[in-house]
Amino acid sequence: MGQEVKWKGEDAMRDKITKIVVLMLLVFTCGYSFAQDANELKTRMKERIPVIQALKSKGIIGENNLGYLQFVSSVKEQEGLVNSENTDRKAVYTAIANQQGASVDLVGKRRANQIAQNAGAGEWLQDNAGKWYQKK
Amino acid sequence: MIRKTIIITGMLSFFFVQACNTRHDVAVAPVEVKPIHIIIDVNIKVDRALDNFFGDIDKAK
Repeated sequence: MGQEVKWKGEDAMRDKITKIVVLMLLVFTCGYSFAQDANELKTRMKERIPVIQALKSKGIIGENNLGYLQFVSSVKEQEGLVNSENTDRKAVYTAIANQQGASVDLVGKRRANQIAQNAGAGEWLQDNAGKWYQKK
Repeated sequence: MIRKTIIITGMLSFFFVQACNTRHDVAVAPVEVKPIHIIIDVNIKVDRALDNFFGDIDKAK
């Protein structure tokens, strides 16, 4: 009888351990998956840098005040690449917003400030009021 | 004579009490500090997260 109780207790303990291990694996898998996604996003963004810089130098695109690329001329060169970059940026802003408990717009605006600080002379930027200007 | 003394003493007492009586009205405006701190805190955290992600991308430019 005593042995039976002991065995039942062991089963309950084993169930708990199994649940904890499954939960840990799930958390680890999700974390690993996010890190992998982040690495893929970074790789794609780095690959686009030369084209984006060329478009900026030509005055075709600029950085808006929400942290996204925007066409500032009527020439829509490399539109697909620009859209892909904006899609990836939105994914990053959304992940950071969820992580920090902020809105996606706020994250984008903070990024726009960083971009404006790091921008080179002649690049098109949009100020907080929505006015476009070339950085001096 | 006594009447005059009483009146003068009364008047002097009245002026003396009025002179000693001071009143200070200090208006304290409600200070809302907490929300500002929260906004700054969120901005700092977001900036740090953005730096962590975009740091090496920005360096590559």
